[in-house]
Amino acid sequence: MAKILIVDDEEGIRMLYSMELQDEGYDVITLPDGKDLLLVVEKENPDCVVLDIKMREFNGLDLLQELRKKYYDLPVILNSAYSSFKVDLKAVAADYYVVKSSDLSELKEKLKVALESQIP
Amino acid sequence: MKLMHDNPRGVAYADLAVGILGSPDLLSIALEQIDRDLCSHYPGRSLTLICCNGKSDESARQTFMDIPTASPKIYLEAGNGHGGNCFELLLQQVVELGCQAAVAIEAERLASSYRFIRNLFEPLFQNYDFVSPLYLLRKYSGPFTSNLVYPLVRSLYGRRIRQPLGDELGFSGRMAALFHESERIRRNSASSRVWVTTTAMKAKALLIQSYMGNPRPELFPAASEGEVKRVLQSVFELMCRHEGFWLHVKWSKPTAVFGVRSESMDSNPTVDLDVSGLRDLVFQRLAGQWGICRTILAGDNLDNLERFLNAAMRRNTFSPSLWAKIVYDAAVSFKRQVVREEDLLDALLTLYYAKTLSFVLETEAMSVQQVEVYTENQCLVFEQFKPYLVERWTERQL
Repeated sequence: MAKILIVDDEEGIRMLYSMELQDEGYDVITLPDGKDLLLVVEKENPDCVVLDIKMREFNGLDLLQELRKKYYDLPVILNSAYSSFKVDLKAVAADYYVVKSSDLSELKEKLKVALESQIP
Repeated sequence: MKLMHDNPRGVAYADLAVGILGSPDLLSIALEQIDRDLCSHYPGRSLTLICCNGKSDESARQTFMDIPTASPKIYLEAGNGHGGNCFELLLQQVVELGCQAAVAIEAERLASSYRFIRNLFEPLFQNYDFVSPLYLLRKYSGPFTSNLVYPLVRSLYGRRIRQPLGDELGFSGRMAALFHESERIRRNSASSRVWVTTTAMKAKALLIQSYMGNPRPELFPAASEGEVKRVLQSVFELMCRHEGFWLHVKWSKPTAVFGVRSESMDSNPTVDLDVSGLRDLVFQRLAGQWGICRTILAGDNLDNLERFLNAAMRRNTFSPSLWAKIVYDAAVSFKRQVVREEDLLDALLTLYYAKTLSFVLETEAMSVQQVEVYTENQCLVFEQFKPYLVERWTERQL
């Protein structure tokens, strides 16, 4: 069972994503901010991180750069209410970019692809 | 291969090397700046500046040697005018000098790139092996890369390197040795760069893309007919060489970025494209190449292409899925040598023109950002249809 880490400062989003992704068979853990992100990733070893961009005290794009320094191939999906960050050059380091929506089909599709991707 | 090797200060070892590929005319200020910047930023490391010129030119040598720099300089000439050989000269020199890190820059790009040279070096001291340039693109900068080389190389080798033909590269000493030992592609400088990028991907080197600014559009000249064909020929040849690797790649993975800063993109430029002229050119070329298309393309793809052309390329768009399958069909035909290589490349060039025309018409009203999203979506389509390529590539022929 793939383990997904959701990082989002909105409790409602964390709950919705947890329920929907657990229904899909994923093991889900959540974080309310980026404070302990690297520690949690090290401890929990998730298969994919779904990362909010605009959190109250944290910028997801900067957290992404920190993650990439340490975890070269860890799949990261940026998740934001704003599509404008899609073309920020910092977002290039993410596997995918999904605009937040109550319909999680795009997120689920991108999760599947990110987990399937393979370089021998 | 070296016709001239001028090393007046007898440099036998260097920690860092900056290789200028091409004629060093008008480089003085940029090179002085690079020398000052790197010497002050890496005070404990020895730097050598190397000019690799593809043609024999005494005045170029003199110009280069006269530039006042604190670091020693080496001037090399290959003498046959092939840009690819400039890169080989540099590799050989970097290996001989035992450099820990080196960058290669096309001479004509130096004036815009010199401010970002450190972005190419810095990741090499953070354990990365290969640094590719990342530009803040302008609309329609490099359509050949955006519509063909980037999606194809990305879907094949599974790494997202936005500029696989990038004019500026950084590589570790370890990578230089690997490149030096690898079987070469010797055609032109762009072929050389796609070979290097592909080799790094296949070697599973740690790759990163470094920010290299917002170059002026004139520094992204449209690829010439010859360049498009030689690059395609090189990519297809590398596909044959590395099939044991790319056949097992699924989807793609991103690449870390370095030195990115926020800069606003330019507003939309006016497109200087002769639409009816390009349309006429496509029809004119295809009139003589339809037989080749019939041989190299799968039946469905040929039918869909015909439908697109019958609409005079106006009403229909050249869909990314049809484009991906056509490129894959061409690669399979290249491998099987079903037609003469040059005929295949000529026909694919024509179809690339048709795709470019459709791309411009489709994206005319889009912002720079939207065009980049379009390019990324097109890449996903190439990845989505990769199983089509794998199936056709591996199917037995009767």
